[in-house]
Amino acid sequence: MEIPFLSAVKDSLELLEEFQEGVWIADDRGRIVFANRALARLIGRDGPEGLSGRPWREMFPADEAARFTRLRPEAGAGTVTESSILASDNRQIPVTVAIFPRTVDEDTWHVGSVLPAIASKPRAETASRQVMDNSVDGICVVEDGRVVYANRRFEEMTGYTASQVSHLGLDRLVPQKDRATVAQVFSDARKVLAPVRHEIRVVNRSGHEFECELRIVPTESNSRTVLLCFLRDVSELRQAERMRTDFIAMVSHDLRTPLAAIKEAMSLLSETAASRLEERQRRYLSIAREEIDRLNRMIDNLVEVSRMDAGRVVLRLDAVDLPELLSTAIESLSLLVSKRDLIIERNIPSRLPPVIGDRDRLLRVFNNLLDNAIKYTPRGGTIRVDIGLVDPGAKVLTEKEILTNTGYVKVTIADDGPGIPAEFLDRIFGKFERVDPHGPGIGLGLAIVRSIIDMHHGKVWAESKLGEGARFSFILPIKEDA
Amino acid sequence: MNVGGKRKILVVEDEDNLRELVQSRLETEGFEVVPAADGFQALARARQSQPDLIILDLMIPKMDGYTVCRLLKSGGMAQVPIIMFTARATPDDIRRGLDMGADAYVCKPFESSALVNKVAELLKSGGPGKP
Repeated sequence: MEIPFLSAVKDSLELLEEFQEGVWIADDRGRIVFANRALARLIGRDGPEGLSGRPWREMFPADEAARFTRLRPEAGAGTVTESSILASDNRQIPVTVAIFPRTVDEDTWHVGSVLPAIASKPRAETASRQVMDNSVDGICVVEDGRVVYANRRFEEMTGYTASQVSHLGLDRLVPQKDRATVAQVFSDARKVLAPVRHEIRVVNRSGHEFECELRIVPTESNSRTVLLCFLRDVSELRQAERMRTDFIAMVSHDLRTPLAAIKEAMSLLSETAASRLEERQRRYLSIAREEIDRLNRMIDNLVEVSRMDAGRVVLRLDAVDLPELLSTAIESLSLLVSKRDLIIERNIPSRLPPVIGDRDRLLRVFNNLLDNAIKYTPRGGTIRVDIGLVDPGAKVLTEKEILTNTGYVKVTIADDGPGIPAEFLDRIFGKFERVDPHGPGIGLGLAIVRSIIDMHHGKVWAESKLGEGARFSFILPIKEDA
Repeated sequence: MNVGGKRKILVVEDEDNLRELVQSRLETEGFEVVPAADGFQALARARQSQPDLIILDLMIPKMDGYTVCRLLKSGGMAQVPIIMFTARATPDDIRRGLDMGADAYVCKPFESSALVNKVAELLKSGGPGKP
């Protein structure tokens, strides 16, 4: 069929096939004479062929088609509106529609185009648009690496308008040194098609840098990937966290000083006056010393946690002899052990390679795990400590944090206590987590243990059956050349 | 009540050292002390020993102090005064304790003389009286 108008614009029609927008042309009777492949794709058809000859209004829900008729623009002006188009399975797809009447030889033709709403820049104030515009998070939509939408908050945060960001690119919002990392985050999101979250620094138009949480949610739209990016300013939150961390560090330090004095006074008293004291009075002194030690351990843990939170922990790695470290730890807890009539059994091979680690931190691991075992073992009970090489075929060595090119040593500390319910076995390593909220301690010991072991490329875990005690194990890499 | 004999006090506290010190203090003041370390022991020893007064820590294992208090007050020991002994001392905690039937509270850290005074006061009044 030769249609004069179409043959006149034949070259343009080929160009229209390259468009990402769905485009159709309808004659003066409202019948489609041309539709491009993008339109067919959008409404879920294999190709545009079957659309020819159909009334273009039938592509839309009836009430929308009627609305277009009412909106009927002055010739030459055109109209752009939010609407929906019917897919071949009758699903309604939200779109932005543009309809332009063209008068040719006194007949009015229509040229229409549709864009999926998400990738469009709709002018109408839809509800979702209002939600996005008034969001407390900065939101932008990225398509083919270009910003196609940015909400008001995003503009406020960055100091650029949406169209400026679109031209400059998102790169401009990130400090030079972080650009490669952020690019990687975007590429990951596109690849895995799952939401990703990353903390980034954003630099605004006036050069001010601040911390943001970036959440990227990839969505599929007409077989193209659209990235919804949510930007939340977390600088105040991080500032508050730093203040908390500094506060804990400062308070802990101030607490230690009077504690040290009390401890010293108690020691002097027990050394100089012991012979003149009654048994009962000596007992009071020993309780005081015990509790001072306990308070010191709690403060140590608080300081350690605040350092870890602040990322201030740097390991001083060296060859560490674990059995020797175990003895030191047991020594420092001997008051508690003897008071509760506990027995600590050690099962250690005579020849054991040293591990690579930070001696002070690993001593804290022993201290915290033993302190725990002591707390939960009933009077007269037994705590068993096993140290040995990990069998090279052991399953634990396949965990992803584990180094593959070295052997590992395993330490297991088992107690006679009430055991740990299964649902707590993982959770107890979280900060401030305790099985019994009324039990002793503040719930930091195991969190610290896990942090330290993780930093050593090791792994720590707990096994238990209710009523049969608990076993805490950790593994650490061997120092090979020792 | 043990007329003519020593007044008997049940001390429920899970921290061994603290319990021992409170016990010593009360014994020095001439009381007889029955110790308990958790909620179950508290209930059992209260029934066995029929104390004249109970000092009850709120944060104890197995059964918390609020529940122990409620069970004692509703289970035939309504006449025995209970002093809540707690490191948790927000007005809400105190109100909750008093709602459960406690007669007084002493916050940790405590002055032992204050604890002894409170004990003497409650025993003199001869039974529970809300503060």
